[in-house]
Amino acid sequence: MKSVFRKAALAGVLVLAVALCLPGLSRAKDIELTMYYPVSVGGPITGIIDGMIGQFQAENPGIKVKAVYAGNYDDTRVKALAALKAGEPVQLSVLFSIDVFDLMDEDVVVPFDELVASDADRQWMQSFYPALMQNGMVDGKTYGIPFQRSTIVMYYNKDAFREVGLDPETPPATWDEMVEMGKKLTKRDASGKVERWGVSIPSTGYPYWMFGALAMQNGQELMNDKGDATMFDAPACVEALQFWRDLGAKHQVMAEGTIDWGTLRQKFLEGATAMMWHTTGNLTPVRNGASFEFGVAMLPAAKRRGSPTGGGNFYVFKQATPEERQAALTFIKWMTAPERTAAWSMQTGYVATRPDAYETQTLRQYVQEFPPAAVARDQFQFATAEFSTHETARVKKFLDDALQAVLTGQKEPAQALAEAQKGAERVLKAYR
Amino acid sequence: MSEPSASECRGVGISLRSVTKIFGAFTAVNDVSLDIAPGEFLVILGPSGCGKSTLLRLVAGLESVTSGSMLMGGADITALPPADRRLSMVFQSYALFPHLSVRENIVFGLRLRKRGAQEVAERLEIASRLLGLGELLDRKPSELSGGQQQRVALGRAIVSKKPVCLMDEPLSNLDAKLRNSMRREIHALQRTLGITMIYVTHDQVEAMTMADRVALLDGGRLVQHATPAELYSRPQTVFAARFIGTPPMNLVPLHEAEGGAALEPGGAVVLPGVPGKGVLLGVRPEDIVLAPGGLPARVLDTEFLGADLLARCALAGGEVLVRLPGKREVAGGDGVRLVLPPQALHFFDAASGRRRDDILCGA
Amino acid sequence: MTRISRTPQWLYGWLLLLPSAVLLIAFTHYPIVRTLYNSFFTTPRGRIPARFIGLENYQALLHDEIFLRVLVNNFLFALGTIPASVGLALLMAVWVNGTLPGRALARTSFFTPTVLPMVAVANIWLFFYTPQVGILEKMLAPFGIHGVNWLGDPSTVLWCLAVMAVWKEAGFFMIFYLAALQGVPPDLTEAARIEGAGRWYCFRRITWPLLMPTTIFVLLNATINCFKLVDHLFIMTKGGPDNASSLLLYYIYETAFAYWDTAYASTLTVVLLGLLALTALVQFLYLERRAHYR
Repeated sequence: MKSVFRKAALAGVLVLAVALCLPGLSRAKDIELTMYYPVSVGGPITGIIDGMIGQFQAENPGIKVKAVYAGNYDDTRVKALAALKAGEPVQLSVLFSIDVFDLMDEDVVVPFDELVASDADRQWMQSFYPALMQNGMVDGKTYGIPFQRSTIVMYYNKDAFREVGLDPETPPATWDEMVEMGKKLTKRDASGKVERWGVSIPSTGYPYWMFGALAMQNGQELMNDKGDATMFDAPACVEALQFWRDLGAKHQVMAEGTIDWGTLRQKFLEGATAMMWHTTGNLTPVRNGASFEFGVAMLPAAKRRGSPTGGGNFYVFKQATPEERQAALTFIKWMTAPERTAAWSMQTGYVATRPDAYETQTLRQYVQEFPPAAVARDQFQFATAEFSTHETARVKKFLDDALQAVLTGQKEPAQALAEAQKGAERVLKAYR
Repeated sequence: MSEPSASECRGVGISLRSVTKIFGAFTAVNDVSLDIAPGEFLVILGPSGCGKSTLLRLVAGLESVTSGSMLMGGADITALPPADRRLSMVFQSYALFPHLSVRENIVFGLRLRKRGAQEVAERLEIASRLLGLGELLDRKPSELSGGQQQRVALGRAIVSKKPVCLMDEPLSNLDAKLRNSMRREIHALQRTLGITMIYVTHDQVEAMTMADRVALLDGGRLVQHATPAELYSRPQTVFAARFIGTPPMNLVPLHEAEGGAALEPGGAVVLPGVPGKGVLLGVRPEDIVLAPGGLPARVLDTEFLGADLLARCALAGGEVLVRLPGKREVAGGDGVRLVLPPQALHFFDAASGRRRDDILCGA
Repeated sequence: MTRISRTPQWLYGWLLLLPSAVLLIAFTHYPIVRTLYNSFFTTPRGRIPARFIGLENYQALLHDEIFLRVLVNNFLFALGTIPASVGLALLMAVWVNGTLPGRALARTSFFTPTVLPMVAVANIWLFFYTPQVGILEKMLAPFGIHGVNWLGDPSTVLWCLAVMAVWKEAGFFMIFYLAALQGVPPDLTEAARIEGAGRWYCFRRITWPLLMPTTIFVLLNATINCFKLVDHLFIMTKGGPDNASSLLLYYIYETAFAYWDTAYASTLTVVLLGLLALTALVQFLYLERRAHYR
């Protein structure tokens, strides 16, 4: 009896071993890449990414890419970092462009300069809009390659412009014009109830982002290139914040209090605001949802025009082997090729990250049919980096709280920004 | 037992006039009319589902009548809420408030009616002495035995000093021994207090031992309203005959024969002058006598009960039960002679089940 | 047989306990101990390891305005949600326990908010509260109330969230009350009615005391929930404006996963655990003694 059992067990073990080895043998040359991607499972974006990966794998046998859809930017960073710390194989990810300092502080990312070998590759790194490269570059090295990127533009309701006698083809180009037009566009009923606001700048979710635009338009950046100092209390910032608050409190062309990021698009689509500042990522949904003629314009200027970029960059992680790093580079180069970029931009509404993408047949034709798609491109010459420092989230929070405190009338701009600056100093001191 | 100040709780009379209660398509109480004298102990008796509990709840005011009216002491109480009907009630489950102590349970109603502290204390004292609850006043109901809980429920009824007390199967949750003693106690209490009692039970022993009069209910209808003795000796229907008595009355269908009635078709006349057609003969087991010259029968089997002996006998194609003194030595297979004394015979109409007093056995 | 009887009985006991003990230790006790331990260190960053700093993190709490703010917010939120949701739950339970027509429909509709995920509820209510186009604005317009920026105003935002939480929670607690009410024998109230007790007296002296165990259970759950439920903040306000709607657990999340400051997050977690332990203790020690359990 015993020997029968032993033989059976031995046979079982053998079968198991062969079964385990077979796939390994047959795919010995495949390089498997795992990529965390900042989008919720089941959204339309996942389908587009899956399609691109499938096409890539067909064209590049030997490289397999697995995308892990991990939610919003914060969730994805948390999950990617947790996976890295647990030693799980993660070779590349699309993460928030402004997380670059934190990823460096965690010592997990490798600069692309170390990955590229040929002149052609170096050429590729130069092919993106400089404004989009700003957030990915630290100390002259490039850690992030732009992919899922957006910027802020102004959407406006052309029907509303016509209704109050404004030229629908001439959106406001300056702050003053925006206020003037806003006053005309703000509509109240007999009881004084506002039926339509002139302009809305959202102040939940990403208030620092909107403020980055206002500050830049007033000629002031919010942080330095090294990400270890902020300029929250600069006079131009205080002025910019005063203006933001005045839109509601003084000029009464915007609702007072904070304006919700998530529901603003719906309000615009229902005609409850004539102009809104929002991400280019909303271009396609607005186009699909608007029952009126709408326009897209560059953000207006005070001293100059300005709009920060935003969104996700490709990062390659240090723990990847040299082969995996090269495979990751191949994949990223493929994903950011002009034709792909053009198609991606059209499908999603995110900006095309490189000028030559706009030269492709597809995108040229699209822009011709739908001129608003080109506004983001034209605005890139004025674009700046999104707010990003060491411990970005914490420093950002000081600014967000200050902005909301001012917009809800609890604090004065100078005081609130001075406090935020003090908080930021406390955190950033350690990184100098 | 000491005499409570019973003056204010002397019973009052109650009259039910064609009381009917219909739940949806089901008639629970059907046209019941009853008069209950002041201080009377009325037992409403019947099998489960006969409507006796519903009738009690109608009197209590916990259900409203579909038609008919109720009077108490001459005044119409049909539309009054329970609290205004001057009655107390003891529930089958005792309905003690589990979160209150025995004391709080007993004086619940007095507190509610904002009686003075001294009066509350006095009444509590009387009730607890009457029921022997002195030691238990600070306990919670869950810490009491079934019998003790029963006493607390009685206590709550006593302190209220209402002229009418309703009890819904109050002894059914007690064991047999306790039931016997409580039965006597409740009866004595009612006599002492002089209140009018309406007592619902399905147990004929309770009915026979306690009641001044019994209201026998079947299918929502009042079958018979009589003293226990009359109920036993002159059941008005086959149902009453079957329901009262342990073992119940023997009922044998009669057959027409020349000059009288026979026990089997074409048999000899045993009851001369009695019309056999459509008639049921009733005779209680204890009324049958073993004597020479009786009808020939054979013992099938016997049951020894101590004082008595029950013998199942085959008689003319049917069976009858005979109750004999326990000393009688009769065994299965014995041939016996059964005498049915004419004065102990009952006749019922087979179709309607009603008693037929017109038939006399003229033997 | 003799061999079995020689094996010590306690060994069997421990072996039987082992599976659940392992799970409990691995996922409950160890994390708690570890959290406490971490709160005495700095957060490790990159290649800089954690350093022991004793109670410094706790001292920092006292000077952390946001921490004090979320603590106060949590207290107000508890005040706004617990009595209201428990009271409403009881009211609804008493109502649907009766024999009113359409009772099944009422029960279902009261219970529906409970089965919806909090994230879905938050998305719905976000639009309810939206100025100009929201349903609340449209409902209140006839009364001359308009243009209120419900979630954008620090003085209203927390109460708006509390109202939503009450709406979400009350139906759940109602189920417990309904079950408890159906466990109260009807003859108790009948006995009281015969003694002359009105509806209110019956409720106050009989039903309510008998519901006490349920009330304790529901209160404890409501308290825990008001510390535990923060899903809606992610959707509706992100704790804003200016932390006006932020709650302790949301602040812990921000500190741990947005700021990546695990040590300070551990410190905040210790505070949260302490608060929950305290409420549980108070409710069990104080209320328990006043409750009647059958």
